[in-house]
Amino acid sequence: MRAPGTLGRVVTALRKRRQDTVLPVLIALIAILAGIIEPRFWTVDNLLNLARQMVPLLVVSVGQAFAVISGGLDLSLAAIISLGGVGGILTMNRFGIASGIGCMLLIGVGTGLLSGSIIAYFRTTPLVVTLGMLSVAQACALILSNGTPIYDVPAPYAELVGFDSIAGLPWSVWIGIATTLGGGFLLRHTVFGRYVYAIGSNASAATKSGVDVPLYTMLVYGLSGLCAAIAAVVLTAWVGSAQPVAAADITLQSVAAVVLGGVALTGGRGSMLQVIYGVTMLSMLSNVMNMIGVSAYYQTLVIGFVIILAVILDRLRRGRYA
Amino acid sequence: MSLDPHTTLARANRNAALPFLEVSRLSKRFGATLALDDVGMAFFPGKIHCVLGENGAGKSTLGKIIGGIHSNDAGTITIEGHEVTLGTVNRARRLGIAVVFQELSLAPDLSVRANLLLGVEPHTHPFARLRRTWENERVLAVLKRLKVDVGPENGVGRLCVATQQLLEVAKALIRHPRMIVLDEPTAMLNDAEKHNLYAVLSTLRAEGATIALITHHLEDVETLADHVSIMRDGRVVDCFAVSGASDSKMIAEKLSGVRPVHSRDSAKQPVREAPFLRIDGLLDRAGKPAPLDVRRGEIIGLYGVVGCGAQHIVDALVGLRPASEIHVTLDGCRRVSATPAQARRAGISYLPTGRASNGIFPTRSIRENLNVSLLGHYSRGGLILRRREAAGTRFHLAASAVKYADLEDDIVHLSGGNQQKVLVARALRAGTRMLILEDPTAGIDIEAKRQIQEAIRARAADGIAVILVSSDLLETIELVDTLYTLYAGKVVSQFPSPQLRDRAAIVADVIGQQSPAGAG
Repeated sequence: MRAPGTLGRVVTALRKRRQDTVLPVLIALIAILAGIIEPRFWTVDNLLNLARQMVPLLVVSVGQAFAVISGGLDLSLAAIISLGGVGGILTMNRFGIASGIGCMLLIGVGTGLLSGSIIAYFRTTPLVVTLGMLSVAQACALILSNGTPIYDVPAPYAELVGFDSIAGLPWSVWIGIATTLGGGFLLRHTVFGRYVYAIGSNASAATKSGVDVPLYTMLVYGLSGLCAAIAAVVLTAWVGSAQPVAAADITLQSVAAVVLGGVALTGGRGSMLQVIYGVTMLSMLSNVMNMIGVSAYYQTLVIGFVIILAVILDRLRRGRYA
Repeated sequence: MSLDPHTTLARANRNAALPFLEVSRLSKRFGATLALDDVGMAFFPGKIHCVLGENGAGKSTLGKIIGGIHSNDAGTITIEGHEVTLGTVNRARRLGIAVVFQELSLAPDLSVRANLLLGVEPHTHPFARLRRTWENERVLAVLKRLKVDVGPENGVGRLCVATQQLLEVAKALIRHPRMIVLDEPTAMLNDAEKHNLYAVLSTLRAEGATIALITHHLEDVETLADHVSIMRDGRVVDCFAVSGASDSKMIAEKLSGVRPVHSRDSAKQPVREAPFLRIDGLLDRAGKPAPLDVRRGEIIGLYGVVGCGAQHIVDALVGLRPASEIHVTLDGCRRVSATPAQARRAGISYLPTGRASNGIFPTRSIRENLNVSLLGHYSRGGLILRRREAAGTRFHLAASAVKYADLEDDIVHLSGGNQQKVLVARALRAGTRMLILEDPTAGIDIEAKRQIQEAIRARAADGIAVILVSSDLLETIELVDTLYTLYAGKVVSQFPSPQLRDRAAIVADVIGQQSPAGAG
């Protein structure tokens, strides 16, 4: 008999999700409120716009989530976006669109693996290594571009990735969805994902039960670098230029989104669904505040309060000793 | 017999003064499991009260409630006749209660001094200056009392688990508690350290302290107990006073419901064939090479006090800290394990001591904890086959008699003993050629211990070389075919079939009393 098994699984899943109900409800509430205050919120145009705005942060947060779940942190993501964007667009202008995109991805994975291998094999803290990499990558981006934005972006590239739609959704949104699904799949269904959780939960136990901790740590940062590179593809196409200092805030925003969603900053716990919640919350708040004309200063203030509040709520939900 | 806690308490009241602390009708629920169900118990000053029971019987939960870690759902706690609410660790501490937990709770990066005095610094205000000489005196006094030979400025993280365990006790003692609750304090200690702790507890008892001792070890009960409570499934099933060691058999029977059986298979034939595993590069006390041989189906034991060198050998075998002088030949081939991951791929599996710090993944489910070294069985091309994994997990948890509510619960929801069963199951299945087990039955009740020992023997019978490093001498003697005693990095003696041997000789070896000439 299949039915009781399925039912049982649904019940179990719901019980597990009990932790995750606060944010979705909050998101729904804000969406409803926003619709009441500003009816334009619920127009297709605005929702598409919101989805498009979300993509870079979502993609970067997916990478950040891997680093955080493994018990680390990646502070170099924004710099990798800058370096990938500049390097990729320069290559694109010389060798074509495909090699340009390939170059961006390679730069991301390469820098990530480099940080990762230093973290893993020299047993250094991710915080300091990625902070160093932030400087290095940022400097390389400035040197390559001579400190000026590169506006010479091939038109077909900007058109396609930045603005064209397929099945009603912009390409960039599809890229965001694919990255998130891919991340979720890796975490839930692969040996790699299982080990990432194990390392974040108890690195010593992972080592002693025979997990190749250095290898998987390196791969984690390779992956977060790749996510930054994907964000670089989306951003350069959308903005139509390669900025030497692109999206400087995005690293800390990604940490905020990941934590806001409920991923444990101490590692070993968290899911892609939580990342989506966190990113949606932050992006929706700024979208709504933009529409009702809240000044940028107050927006920053509100988002700061929301993050702090979310962490407190999370703590209360999990109980004193969890 | 009637198990109403009030009659038991009344009976106890007759032969002693007022209890220092008394709990009555105590209940505590964790999710679906009722950890404590209407529990009553009284603890008297100047008495040692042993709380016995299987894993998951609720012993540790009771200790944690008394220590203020958990709050009770129902029932009352009275201290010297006054009802109190403990609720937080600090409140329990102010009322004179100190708890030594089963899981180590020391800060690894702080010094011994800082750890012991954590929370008892004399603070009149948060920025009060710490008086180092005064602190050192206090720390040294308590270390001396426990005969722990470490400097107060040593970092705790580098000390071995047994020493850390004693430091936990020291941490409790330094506060001069009126009541001390110890949860499995002897689990990680060897014979010498254990007797030392017994002596300290006896002195404390003579000084009038109230002592609650949560334990699985009959030896603890034999040596120390004045009162014994036996718990099962969250209830107190028996409560009585004991006098002298003659009662130990009775206690064992009451505890397990069956007579203790010696399950050692006497018909077992020693296998005579070429060694399956050979460890070269060790020396005996005369400086001559002393190779360690393990044949297929054989279990060898390494026994010694802290710093005896067993850890060094294990680290080299597992690839944690490769040692150039140690050469390992496994199944006829030279083997060098550079990392534990490499060792695992070669079928060498390791069960480290220190469940909380080296064993479990606290934020992950029982399923993931069990399978972390076994994903090869449940995956294809890096993809995990979830259904096969779940089925395998259920099968193996049942085979290891783990008490659990849901496969997907975090492992920390299990009692300590059940966590250990999961870890043993993980290690036993991952090792296809060699098993290295450190304190495999730490914190486990007698029945489960027997099961685990049988499982270990069964793995050895499959042709796997098993190396046991345990601080529990009785267990080592019962389990191993050959015992090597170690002292200061040297192999002292080899005891074939140590169960036929004199325990005193083994103990003399490991504390360095034996002359280099006499080898077993």
